[in-house]
Amino acid sequence: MSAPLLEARDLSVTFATRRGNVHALDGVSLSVARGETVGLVGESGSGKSTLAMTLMCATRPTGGTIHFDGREIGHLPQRALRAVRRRLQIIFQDPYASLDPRMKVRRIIAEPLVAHRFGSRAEIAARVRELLEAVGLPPDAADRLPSQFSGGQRQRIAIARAIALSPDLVIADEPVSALDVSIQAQIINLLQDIQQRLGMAYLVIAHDLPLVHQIADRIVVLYLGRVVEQGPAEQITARPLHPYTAGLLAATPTVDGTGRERLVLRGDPPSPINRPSGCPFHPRCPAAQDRCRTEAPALEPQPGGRAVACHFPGSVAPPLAHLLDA
Amino acid sequence: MTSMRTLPQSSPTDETPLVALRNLRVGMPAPDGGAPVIVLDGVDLTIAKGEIVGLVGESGSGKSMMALSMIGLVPPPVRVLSGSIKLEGRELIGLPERQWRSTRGGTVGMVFQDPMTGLNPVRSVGALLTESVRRHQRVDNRRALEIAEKALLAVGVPAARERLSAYPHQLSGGLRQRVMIALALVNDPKVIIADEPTTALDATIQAQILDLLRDRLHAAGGLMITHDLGVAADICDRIAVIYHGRIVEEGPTADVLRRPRHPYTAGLLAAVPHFGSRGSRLEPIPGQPPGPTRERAACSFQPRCKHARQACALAPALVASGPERRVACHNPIEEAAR
Repeated sequence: MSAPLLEARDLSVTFATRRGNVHALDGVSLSVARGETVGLVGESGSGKSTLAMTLMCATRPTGGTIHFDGREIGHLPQRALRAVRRRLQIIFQDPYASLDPRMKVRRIIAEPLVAHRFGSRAEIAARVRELLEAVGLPPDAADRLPSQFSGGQRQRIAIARAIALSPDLVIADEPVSALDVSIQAQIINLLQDIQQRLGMAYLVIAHDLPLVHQIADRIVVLYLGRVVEQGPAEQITARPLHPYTAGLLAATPTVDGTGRERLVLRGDPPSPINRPSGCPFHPRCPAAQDRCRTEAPALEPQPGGRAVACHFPGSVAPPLAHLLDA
Repeated sequence: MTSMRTLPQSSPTDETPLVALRNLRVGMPAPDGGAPVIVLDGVDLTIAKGEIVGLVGESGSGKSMMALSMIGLVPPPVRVLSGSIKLEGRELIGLPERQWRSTRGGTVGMVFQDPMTGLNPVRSVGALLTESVRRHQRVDNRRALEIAEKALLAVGVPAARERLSAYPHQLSGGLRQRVMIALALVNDPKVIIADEPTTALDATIQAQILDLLRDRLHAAGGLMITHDLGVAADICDRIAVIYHGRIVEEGPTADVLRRPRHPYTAGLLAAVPHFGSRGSRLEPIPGQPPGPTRERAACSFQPRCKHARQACALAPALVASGPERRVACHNPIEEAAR
């Protein structure tokens, strides 16, 4: 059995602020296999963007380890990270902020190629042409500035840059949420086509559960810096085991006429500064009992390759299975 | 040929609608003196009392400009070029600014997308509410505070009395949006305009706010502006789909979503992931939405439309298409349930 491509174990990130320590990540474990698509779902404050930054080694973990292709990278010195970065790329949410407005597209896409000494100038130019074609942009796009493109086209440029060095893993942090509805599907399909051709793994971070369900093999649900549930995508949405996952599913408006389930979670997610005692979800949980207020549940394996951190898994389950048979 | 009946202006048995937009055109003169830039191109829409109408469109479709026209806040140099907006039969276009001030926040309540920029950050919640109450009602400050507290309780703000002294930044996103809704409702408006009221919120908070809006907007009448068909499906009685400044399709929500007749509506539905779409490929709409300067002689959706035919070189009118349905298309999708 081969080791996972990426494996984070017991990852913690704590930021010191004037109001106290923020535990942005609190013992997160997660893995991504080669060629796999993992969807990471969570609301604001769940720590999903901190996790992306930590896996990219842009934020250093205060605890835990990150193994990439068998090698620990969470504590490597900057210089040693170069070789890793070549194989680990990221796409950001906002294509208006992530591309340098003064650089021509040619240079934006060539930048990682130059930095990692891909080849001669002619080889780099040929590679840029190839990449533009791969993301569905015309060859003359190379000579224009990002401002001359729409949001969807800019995200194509960002994708071309991310796949320039044929990475093994691409982290996509809300890759379509800044785009118009009619454009989102273009980018989702492009990401899927590229994966089929090049075989890289994706870690897709999104707040949009139907989107993640559409493209991910496995889903990981994050709440207040902890993984509360993970498992194969169809199973998570058909039979959520954690009450938070059930609440998130029930909260998702649908257009297929079935309407939203009438399970509405009360309150707001608590601040990561004032974490509740026991299970971090208990103040909002419709099924919370005394034990949940004092004892934090561990992420326990379940049948079918699933895991859940709940003392009473499956106690809140909206009957959503019918949506999947439709 | 498809039948081209025009919709009667309004059947004689109808009472005066709560809100009636007629042939509303909004735009600005081109900077070089050429053809004007049109943002809304002849919009007709009515809202009945107690009805929530959803206006669904993408960025640049003109949906937010429609909200601004209805509260007299179209930003210059853009202005209302022609048409009519009536609230209970009273014309709003051309009102002097002083009368707009008594309309906004009084008879017309507003909820915006971002509660952080929609609320004045240097005013406490109590000050924001009481100022609005005293601008529109003849009451003293003590009575205004009572009304303010009741308004907060009505939108589910816990510990309402203590919250009166809080400032917007001290509240969570969900609470801020509740405060903005309280502010929209505090003077018992006749109609409430909500522009992307849940877009900045997390899913579980969005569900709470949608439930609240569904109750409160039904009590008066509401226009819900959104890019999200799911949100529209959740609380709207009727939806109007807007593209390039024109309404392209309109009808009862469930009917439009189940049997879209305009290829753009059908395209949006096929492009959005839903829990049943896993394993099948999404069908994107090719190309991208047009900008406001795009020529309007032809159907604006034609370049992206797989149903386009020769007739589409002339823009179609919005005409009746079955009971309670209107569509602007020369080649609408025929009855075949999704």
